[in-house]
Amino acid sequence: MAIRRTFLKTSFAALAIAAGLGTLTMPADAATRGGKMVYARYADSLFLDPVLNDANVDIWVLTNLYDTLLQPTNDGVGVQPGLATKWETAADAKSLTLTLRQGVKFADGSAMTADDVKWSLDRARDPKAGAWSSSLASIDSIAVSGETVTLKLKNPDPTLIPALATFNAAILPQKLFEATPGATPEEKAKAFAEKPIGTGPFMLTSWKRNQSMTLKRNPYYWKAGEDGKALPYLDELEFQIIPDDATRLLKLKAGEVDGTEFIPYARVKELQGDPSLRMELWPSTRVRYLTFYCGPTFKDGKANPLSNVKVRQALNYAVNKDAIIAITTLGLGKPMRSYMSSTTPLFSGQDLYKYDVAKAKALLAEAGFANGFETSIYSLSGNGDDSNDLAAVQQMWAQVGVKLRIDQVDNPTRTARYREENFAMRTSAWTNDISDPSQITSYFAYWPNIHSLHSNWQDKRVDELFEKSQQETDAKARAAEYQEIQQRYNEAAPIVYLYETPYPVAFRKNAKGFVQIPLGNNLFEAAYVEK
Amino acid sequence: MSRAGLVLWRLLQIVPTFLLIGVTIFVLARLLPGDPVSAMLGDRASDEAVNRLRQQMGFDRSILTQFVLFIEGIARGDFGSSTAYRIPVTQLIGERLPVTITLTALATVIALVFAVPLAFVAAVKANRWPDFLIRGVFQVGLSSPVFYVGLILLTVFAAWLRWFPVGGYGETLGDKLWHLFLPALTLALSFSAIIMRNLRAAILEVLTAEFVDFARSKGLAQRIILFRHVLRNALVSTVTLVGLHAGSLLGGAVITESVFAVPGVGRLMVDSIFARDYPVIQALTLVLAVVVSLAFLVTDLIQMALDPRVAR
Amino acid sequence: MTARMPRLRLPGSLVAGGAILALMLVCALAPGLVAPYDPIAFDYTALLQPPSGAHPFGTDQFGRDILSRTIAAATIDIQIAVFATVGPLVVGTVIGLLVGYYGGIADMVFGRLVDLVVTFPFLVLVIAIVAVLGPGLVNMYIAVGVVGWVFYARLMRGEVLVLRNHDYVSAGKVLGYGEARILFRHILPNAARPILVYWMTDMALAILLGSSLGYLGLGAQPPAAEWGVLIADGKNFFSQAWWITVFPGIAIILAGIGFSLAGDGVADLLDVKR
Repeated sequence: MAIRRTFLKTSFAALAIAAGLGTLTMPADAATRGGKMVYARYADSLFLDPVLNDANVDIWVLTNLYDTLLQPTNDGVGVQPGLATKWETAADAKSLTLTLRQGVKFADGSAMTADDVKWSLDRARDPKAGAWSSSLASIDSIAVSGETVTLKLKNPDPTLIPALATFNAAILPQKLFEATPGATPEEKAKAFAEKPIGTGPFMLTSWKRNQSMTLKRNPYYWKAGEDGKALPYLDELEFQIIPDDATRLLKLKAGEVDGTEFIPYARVKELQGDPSLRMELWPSTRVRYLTFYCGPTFKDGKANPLSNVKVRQALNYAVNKDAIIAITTLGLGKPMRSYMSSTTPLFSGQDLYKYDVAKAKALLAEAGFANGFETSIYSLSGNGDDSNDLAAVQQMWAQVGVKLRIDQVDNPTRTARYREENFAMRTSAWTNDISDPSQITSYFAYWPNIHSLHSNWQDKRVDELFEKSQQETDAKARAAEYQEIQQRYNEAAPIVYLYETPYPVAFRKNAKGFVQIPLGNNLFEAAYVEK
Repeated sequence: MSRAGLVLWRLLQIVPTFLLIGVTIFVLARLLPGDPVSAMLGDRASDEAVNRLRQQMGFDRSILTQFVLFIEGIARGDFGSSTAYRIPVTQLIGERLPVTITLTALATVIALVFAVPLAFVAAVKANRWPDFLIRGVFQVGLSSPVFYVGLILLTVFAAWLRWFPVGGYGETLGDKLWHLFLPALTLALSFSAIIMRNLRAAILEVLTAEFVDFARSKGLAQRIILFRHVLRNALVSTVTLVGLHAGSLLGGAVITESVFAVPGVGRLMVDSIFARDYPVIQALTLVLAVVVSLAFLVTDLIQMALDPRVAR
Repeated sequence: MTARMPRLRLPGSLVAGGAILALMLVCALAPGLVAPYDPIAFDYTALLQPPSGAHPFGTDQFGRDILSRTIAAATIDIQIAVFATVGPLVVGTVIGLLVGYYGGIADMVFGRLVDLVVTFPFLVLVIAIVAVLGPGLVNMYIAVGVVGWVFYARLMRGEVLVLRNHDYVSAGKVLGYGEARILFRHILPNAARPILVYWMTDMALAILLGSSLGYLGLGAQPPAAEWGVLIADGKNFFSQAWWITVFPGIAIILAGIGFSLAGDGVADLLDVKR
């Protein structure tokens, strides 16, 4: 426990400094026990199954219901003990042995066993089980004896430890799950996710879709608070779903909710000046960028100017990132310096594509587009960030002769065009789910996964480096591989680099102890409301 | 046709209408780019995962097969499960529909409370200052965008004055009405202006018509007759208007429900379109069609009762 | 009571409404002549400026001049008001007239058609059609037109049902007038007033619908300015830059009042002639 607490304290301090918040609350001795916190979310969860879900609205709250063997640290770059207290990689890096925490119980009071662990991990790594199974693909078999779980690996895997701290590796009660009605595993998962039982700090007691979700304190939770007694501090946590930004803020100001997420950047300053509120800007792994389609021709057979690396570089030089950051985020963002956020482990970026109209024009001329060209972008209708970013980009590119048509569509349309690789450009945002650069790299740069963000950009050397890094046991060598990948990718510019932003969250002054880690996870275990 | 006959006839007519609506929405939903699976899995999923889920959920079958299954399901009373929320559609709609019906009913009441008396005043004082004032105020209401009015009402009455909650929905009936008052007022604003204008015009028309002159010529004692004539004729057009707008009121609830975080079917419908949630889109369209048809039927019955000339 | 005015004097409401609409039309047809700035030009030296001599309506987060953007938006909004309603007006009136007068099978078929169109939730249908066709103004007109005509037709049919039993219609029949003459010379003018009043209302409503779709991102596409889009854009800046939202809102209300006054004026004018 002692180790963990120090961990918490250091990471809190680091966060407070990083966020520039002098008064960020520590889970102080004065934490109030009992009571209820109401937190307004912009959208409801969809499917509270750790393995089969596929959305941040689920992922970001799952940690309040389920635990993983290891947990991401609050600064998002390391791991700390979770349901396992110790872990050890074998000398040949072909197996990993974990020691389970003693006396952990599920929210229904039944004991968590090593069998539950084996069953949960087997379920999560089943290739048929869903999008996330690949993170555990290196596991060959799982052996259990007493309090010890041994993972035999097909190959060395430097990403496995962070993967065990990721939501899909959560431990579920095998017996309860199997006793759930349903003919197929999918049906059982559906029914189980209606009334999920895990070892997390809370359990779901009522859920009115798109309206509210009520979570009650798990009386068996294993973590202890600063007062030495079991967490969580709260008796009850209620999520209210309020999609409209302005309404959410009004509810916060009126005191009808204790906290809320996704504060529009334009309102941050106003909330910072409100004495009854506390604005929190949590460091994130979130990056906002525009994806190019880089194939030689479009679906309709027309030649694609964006397939030319000089054109892509020119368009990057023609974007004034600082101006966009000032406009869209009111200065709260910072320029992207690699495709991954600067909070990602093994980030090695540097300043990219400094605004330079002359250089952009020269590059376009070299590419044979001295007079510019016309292109189009899919953006999300009704999304303020998209429309702000693109209004600016449209104007900036006009200066180098490139005419940008903006097509506002809804999300499934944008996704469908993306998956068909039938687009010139699209708006995008990314957050890491795992404290390792492998996930973002496999999507952005590694062609065999999803054709490098469906851009069809491919660099065989990058693919090779990535495959090597996935089995690299030497940390230094892995860092070097990632350095080369980032350097090659950033030079080829299959995306327009925009900015990184923090997670803007606001609370009533008396509502404290909430933590959002850079991966996005909302932690309420140490949250409390002062009377 | 007798009233009972009319009701029966109408109910019979509803069947083909609903079949047509069912086909239309079924096809329209599938014309939307993407499908439920691409909406469920988001940007990151692999083609393999997408295809697997598509097959699991039966969206890889031919449209005809899907339609037959859909109709078969309805015949059994099974509308399927929401693809986005993974719970039965009937449960989802059952939770939401009463909210929206309460909201629109409350909005209609508020609209009538404002519009009817003021329309009489405006008509009687036609083209004098009370008329101009009333029409001017209603006109501003009619011309104001719902999301804008909603924001202003929220800011003033909920955030500043704290008279009403900012959003959401209550537990008890009184609590619910209290929560729904501001959204209903927002929804009522333009509706009451439409009623007021129409009613004022109708009353003016009646006031100039011959039978009123006739009643008037019979002396002041006949004022009651005048009032009844005026009222009845004016009400016919108002009832028609209210009935006509039942559908658009339900539709208008979409934005209001979003602004005020009211968990009704308007919001559900738009969310479902954006999530390509075929089962919800289909079932909800049919359910709303039932509600609107009932509103029309009731409108016709009231119309018949008020104005025998309309009955055939 | 409307006094019988001399023929040469136009109703005051028509003059006032006409003046407002004329102003809107000038903005709509020649925004370049009235607007002081380019509505889409950025000015990084004048971000979020409050109203001043240089920028009477202030500037937005890009330094764009709100007055110029409000004026430029008139082009789109007036277009929406007209194009989204004219089709439904003409089609709906004619159909309502015919089925109301003749009744019979045509009326029954019309009844079913009305049921189909009217029982579909209006905004939902518009949103769905726009989502299928893609966002944009033309697709919005199509979506609105598919539904809008029904309201005119039902209103017209109701008027005709009452009017066709009136004395002058019977008299016309006795006198042996052709049906076309009875329909278009006798019934239509007498039934036209509520239709025209509704049309004016409908144009104001069309602007509201257009702005609602703009608010949802389904209407006019950027960088084009549209009053609803301007309001939605400015919403998040409301506490620090109210002018971004307030002035386009006033423009919408003003347009609504313009249409309404003009509608009243037209109604009065028809009354005089009758």
